[in-house]
Amino acid sequence: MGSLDFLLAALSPLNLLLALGSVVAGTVIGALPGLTATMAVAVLVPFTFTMAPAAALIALGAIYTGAIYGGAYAAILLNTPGTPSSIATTFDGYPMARKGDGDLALTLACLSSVVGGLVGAGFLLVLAPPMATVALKFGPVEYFWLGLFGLTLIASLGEGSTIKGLIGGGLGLLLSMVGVAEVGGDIRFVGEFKALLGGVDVVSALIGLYCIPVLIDLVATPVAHLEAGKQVASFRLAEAFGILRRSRVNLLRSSIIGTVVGILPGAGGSIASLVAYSETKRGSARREHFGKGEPDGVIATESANNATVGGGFIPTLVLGIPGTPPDAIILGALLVQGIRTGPTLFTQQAPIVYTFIWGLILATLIMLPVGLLIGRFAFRSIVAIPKAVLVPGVALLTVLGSFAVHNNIHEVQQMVLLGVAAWGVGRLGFSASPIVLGLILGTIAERGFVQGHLIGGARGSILAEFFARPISIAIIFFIVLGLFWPWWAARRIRLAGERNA
Amino acid sequence: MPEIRPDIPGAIGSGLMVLLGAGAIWAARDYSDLGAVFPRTVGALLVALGCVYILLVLIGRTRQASASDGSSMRRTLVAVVMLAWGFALGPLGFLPSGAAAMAALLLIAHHERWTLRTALLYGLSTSVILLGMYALFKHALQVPLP
Repeated sequence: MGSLDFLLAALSPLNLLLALGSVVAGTVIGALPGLTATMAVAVLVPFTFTMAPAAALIALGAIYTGAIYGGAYAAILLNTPGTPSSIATTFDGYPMARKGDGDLALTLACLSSVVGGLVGAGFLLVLAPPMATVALKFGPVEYFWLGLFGLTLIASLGEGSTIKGLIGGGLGLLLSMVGVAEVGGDIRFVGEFKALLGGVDVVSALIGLYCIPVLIDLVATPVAHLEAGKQVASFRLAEAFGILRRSRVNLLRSSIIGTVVGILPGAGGSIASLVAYSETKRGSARREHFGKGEPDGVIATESANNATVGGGFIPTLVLGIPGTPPDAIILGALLVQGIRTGPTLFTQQAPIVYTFIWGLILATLIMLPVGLLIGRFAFRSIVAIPKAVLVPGVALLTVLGSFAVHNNIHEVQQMVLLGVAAWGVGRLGFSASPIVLGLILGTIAERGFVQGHLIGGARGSILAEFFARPISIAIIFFIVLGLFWPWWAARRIRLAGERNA
Repeated sequence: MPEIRPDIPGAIGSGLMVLLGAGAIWAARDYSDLGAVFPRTVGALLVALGCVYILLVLIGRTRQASASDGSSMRRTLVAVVMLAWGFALGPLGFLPSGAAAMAALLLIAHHERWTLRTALLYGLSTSVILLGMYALFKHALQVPLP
């Protein structure tokens, strides 16, 4: 099959309908403050279990991309980021709305999101296949080092404290060891609970870790999750296109920043948009206008956060290591579908993966009319949904989602237990993302380590097996580089904050 | 200037992680050599990092994140309802446990005064969501809901 065939497969009426519905659903959930893109993917994932793998991937990718964009509505109109990815959009989006340019800001956000999404998906299409060819040369030791590389980036996910991030990662690693060990068959951390013999189910755990704490916090205050914001009068498309044409360098640079940040395991749209905002402000001749309603600020953040979608899929599909938190859920959903991500995916299941990539590009294009038209109407209607109805509805989806993975009641119990525990440790200042990354990477790193140890032992030198292979050396270099990432990211964010102030 | 408070909750959490790490090292005694490598390493890491964080709190090098507003009682009730829902799903079945849990969540999440109109409207909306999802998953998606 050639590229055109994959494109035509993605263009089937069912896939187009799925992409449309999923972008709308993602946009609506993303627009609700408190409900993240990760949560949007998590609660809607059970709907994809009965779909064909390519269709399921297209639906999940479209939900994800829609939710990232949806966050811009509340950020621009209410000064409340709908998702963490749109935090930086509030810097200039809300001041634009206050000046009466909310409609222009929304149109700019939509167009920038589409361009950013297309750049990310383009990189996925171009970069993923050659990376998969390289990844085919990976042995267990390389996967061990890759797992370790992802774990070093955990530090960047801790909210405020690197040590807390690492502790959260350690907790996730312990969770990944529960059950029967893949190599050796040891039964670990099961105790008397035989239901844990199969280990902690990743999808159920992710639904619990990401959704339950949000639900619990949503009921705490009487404040409506959304209030009617500034009226949006028109689209101002021609004006928006004019601004984008003038800001094309910013648009492209921010999209590339978003893609690169998306590729880094665990780093998501919030980091990408802050870095892109900081870079744009730094290089702008209109620096003093930033924070006061500068369209370039909205363009930078919205193109960068949507570019993380395609960028994040690169390590997810090529290596089985999630690029962003929603990718972790999608990875779990693919396992339910019987698809093992990794380099062989591009050779053995090429029709699925290429149809998905084209589907993601189409979903991103669909975001244009959805964002401009449907999103605005949907935004007005969700203002009317009372929190008291929203909370039971989302709770129902979490229960259904965790049960539908394997039709297993124990996994619902795992989901709520982990979710309540995540809320508890969240109150103590430990965020969920490092735990999730530890949970996913723990299995990859341990399997690689044990197999590498056995192979090295058989070859006569365990040290040489781990430290003398060329790809391993390259990954070790990146691990060292990754250790500097939190420092670099924190500096960037601090600088962005200072400049904004 | 806002008062900078030491991260006592973080220290409590770190203390719990130290215990968890020590527990993992202790449990690893019964595992094979290769099976024990990761639990021991991660356990030691948790103990070490937890101790470092507690030390940082003691010497005043940490700052407590701003406390979240709102009712702790409502938060706790949601946690209890979700736990009860998870464990009642098997014995009671999907519809009875779902109806009870969703009704409880509706009551907890509603902060204003109840009127007959609100009760009817919200009750009806929640019932439609529950029954609609039940029909969708049970019959259209063929998920064998309990």
